[in-house]
Amino acid sequence: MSNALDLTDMTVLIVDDEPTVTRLAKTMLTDLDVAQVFVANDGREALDFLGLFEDDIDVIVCDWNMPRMSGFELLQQIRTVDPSMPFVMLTGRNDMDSIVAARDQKVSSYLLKPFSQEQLAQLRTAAQ
Amino acid sequence: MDQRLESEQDQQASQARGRSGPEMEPVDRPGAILEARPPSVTTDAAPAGGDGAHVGATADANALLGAALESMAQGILIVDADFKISALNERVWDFVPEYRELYQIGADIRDAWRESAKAGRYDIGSDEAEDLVARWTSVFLRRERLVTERITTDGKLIQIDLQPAGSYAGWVATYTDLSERRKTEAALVQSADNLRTILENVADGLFALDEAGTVQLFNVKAEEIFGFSADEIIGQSASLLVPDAIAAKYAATIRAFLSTDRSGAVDISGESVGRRKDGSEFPLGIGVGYVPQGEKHTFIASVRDIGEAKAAAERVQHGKRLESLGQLVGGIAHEFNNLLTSISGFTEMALKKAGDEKRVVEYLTEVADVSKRAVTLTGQMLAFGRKQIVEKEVVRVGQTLLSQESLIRVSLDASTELSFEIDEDDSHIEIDSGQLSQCVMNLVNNARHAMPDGGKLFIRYMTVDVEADKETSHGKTLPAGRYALISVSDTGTGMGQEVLARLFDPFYSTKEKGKGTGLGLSLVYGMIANSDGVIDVTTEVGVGSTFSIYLPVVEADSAGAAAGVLGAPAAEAVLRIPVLLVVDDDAHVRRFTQVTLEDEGYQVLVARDGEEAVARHKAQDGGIDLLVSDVVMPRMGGVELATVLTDAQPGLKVVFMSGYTAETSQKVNDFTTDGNFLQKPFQSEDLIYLVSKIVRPPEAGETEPPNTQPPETGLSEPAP
Repeated sequence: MSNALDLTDMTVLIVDDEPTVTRLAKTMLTDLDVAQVFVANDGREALDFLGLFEDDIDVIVCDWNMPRMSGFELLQQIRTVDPSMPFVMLTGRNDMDSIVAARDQKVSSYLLKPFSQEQLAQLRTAAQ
Repeated sequence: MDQRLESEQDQQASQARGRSGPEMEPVDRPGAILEARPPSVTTDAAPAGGDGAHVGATADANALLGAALESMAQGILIVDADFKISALNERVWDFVPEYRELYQIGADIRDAWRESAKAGRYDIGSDEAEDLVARWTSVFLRRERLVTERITTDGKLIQIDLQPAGSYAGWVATYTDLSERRKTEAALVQSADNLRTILENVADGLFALDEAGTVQLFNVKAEEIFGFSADEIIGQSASLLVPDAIAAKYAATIRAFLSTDRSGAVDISGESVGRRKDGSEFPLGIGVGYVPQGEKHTFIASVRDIGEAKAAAERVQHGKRLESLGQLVGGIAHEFNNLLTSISGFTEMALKKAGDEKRVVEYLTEVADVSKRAVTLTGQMLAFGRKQIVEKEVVRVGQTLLSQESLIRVSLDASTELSFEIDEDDSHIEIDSGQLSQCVMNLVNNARHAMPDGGKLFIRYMTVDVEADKETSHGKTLPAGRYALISVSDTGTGMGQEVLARLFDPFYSTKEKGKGTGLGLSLVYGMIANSDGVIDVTTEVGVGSTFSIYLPVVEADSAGAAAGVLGAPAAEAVLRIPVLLVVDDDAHVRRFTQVTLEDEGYQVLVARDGEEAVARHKAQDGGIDLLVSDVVMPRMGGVELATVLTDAQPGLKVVFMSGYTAETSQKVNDFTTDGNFLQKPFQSEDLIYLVSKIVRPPEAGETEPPNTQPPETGLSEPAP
């Protein structure tokens, strides 16, 4: 893919309320020599972070089912400010309704749990 | 006729009667004046001689009797021994209005008889009149009683009762108007008929019992419910209609009720148990009312057989339980999946770092493999909880099914006949076409399992219009509308009620342990529900079963649900069941291999040798994912086969199975250095390990085709 980002130039934000999942993603991405990986365990936390560092983020990977603020809600918030931010929905084989809702909000792509490192490497396609 | 009747007695009598007026001439009005031979009434102190007539000593007998007779509703006529009318009251003339002149004091009653007989009043010919008179005369003389009926000229039915008047040497004739009575009788009969009609036609069973519990009344519906005929049960104890324990309880309740002021309700109502004539018990809905009938106590019971209603309610409950179970399972599976993500992910990373540490690699690989299986299982649970990524699209049902026909045929053995009836009038539904195929395949496998010795399998598709909401076998209602109906019928063993009820329960399996997880059908249930469809099952033990899938029809051009997700990376995220082709001339090995791999969720085709395998591969649209083949086989050996197939499908991977010989290993090495080699005999774990290294097991969420007795292969050859 010619307009795919090089992993080593990529900065990723991972959002998931399950710490072991965020640790895994960070481990895998770091092993791929991704430039930067940021982690948030909460939608609110992610928004606060984006408020400061939005321009630096190339792609957001976000769990869909989180307490307090869901992936969907976070996406909505982000889209009001940045309609083109690459946003990958991370989901454990969830229901159709989420997918439809995600598509309506222009999610870039989705990733199934459990994911492999190889699949994470595909993020560069999503990020542009 | 003696007209003169003037006497003081007369005048007093008429005064006593209270009548007056110029027209009431005492002279020619018979009244109740007794004349000629006095009847059995005297003015003595002694009781009157006439049997039963008592008059006080000082009373004026005539006046009293006159008053009495006039007050009667009946006509009274007294005839003496010479057949002469000695007394009558005015009422008589109401009965014989046309013969008033003949019915006068002193007249011969026989003249009156003769006249009215001749006129047809007694329903005889006029020539028979004399006979009648003669007959009656002889009855009269024999001092016997005569009762007769006649119609008056104004159409009233009257009864004439002639009887000897005790010791009086004469007769008393009583005239009674029966028409009122007849009308009342008729009304009663009509009312009884109405009541009977009501009893026959009321929807519930009704029966009545007295305070001793004896059945008094039993309507037609009650006969149907209990199996007793009314004749059999009326007069028997109502305790025959319920189980003994309940009968005792009800008897006590009735006794208690009767001891109260009986103004309240009888405390027998709601759900109970009934007992039929054949002794069988059934759920009974009952209500009892109390009917006081003077001194008697009657209880009316209204009953219905609520077995069907209860069963229906049970099915709805069951459906609900399945749903909440689904939610629970889905919730747990979701959590689990997160943890598994971490387990498998870090294991993967660790494996990368393990490098040459053989033991470490070995152990970590074991962890990785097991996590994969855990992921598969979790996926199946999630699917049951109806949380699944699917790619819904608008598909043409008939076309999809037809494309599956060859696959289905191939999976059946020779002893099973397949009838594929696809309606030409195709319709569209919104479903993931892979899911639709999987559902059908699952049902086909289920049918195969039900017919271990073969039979007939019918797969039908047609578009139907469901007119009214329809109840289905597992508690869901199918709303009226247009549906694509896909049905899979077998002539297999059928299912009993218990099995049917639990059919879609996860992990419920009638197969032996270790073969199939029992999730196949529950996944079908989930998938169909996910597409807003309903599945209905009918079955009969010894006859077979039919699974009917109703999926709502959509317009062909409807935008439909998500046609995939934007930019989703194709291969990994899209769920697809890998197809493996297993080739071995040893039936036992084929069977074992197929079973093991199907258990892992793969779709497995089998062939007996190279040639057959080539044919199979050709028939398989889209190719296969892996070839698992024996090396030494008749007609075409494994290596030769592998060469042919990799030509046809470049990049196709191969696993060879063989007993070790120098020769075979040489052959294999000539073909490939991949080292994908299974030494016979091998364990299932080895097989799985090797295969899954090359082709990932189905992603979580796909169906696992239930394990069944593998059929013998052979497109057109009989099984070995």
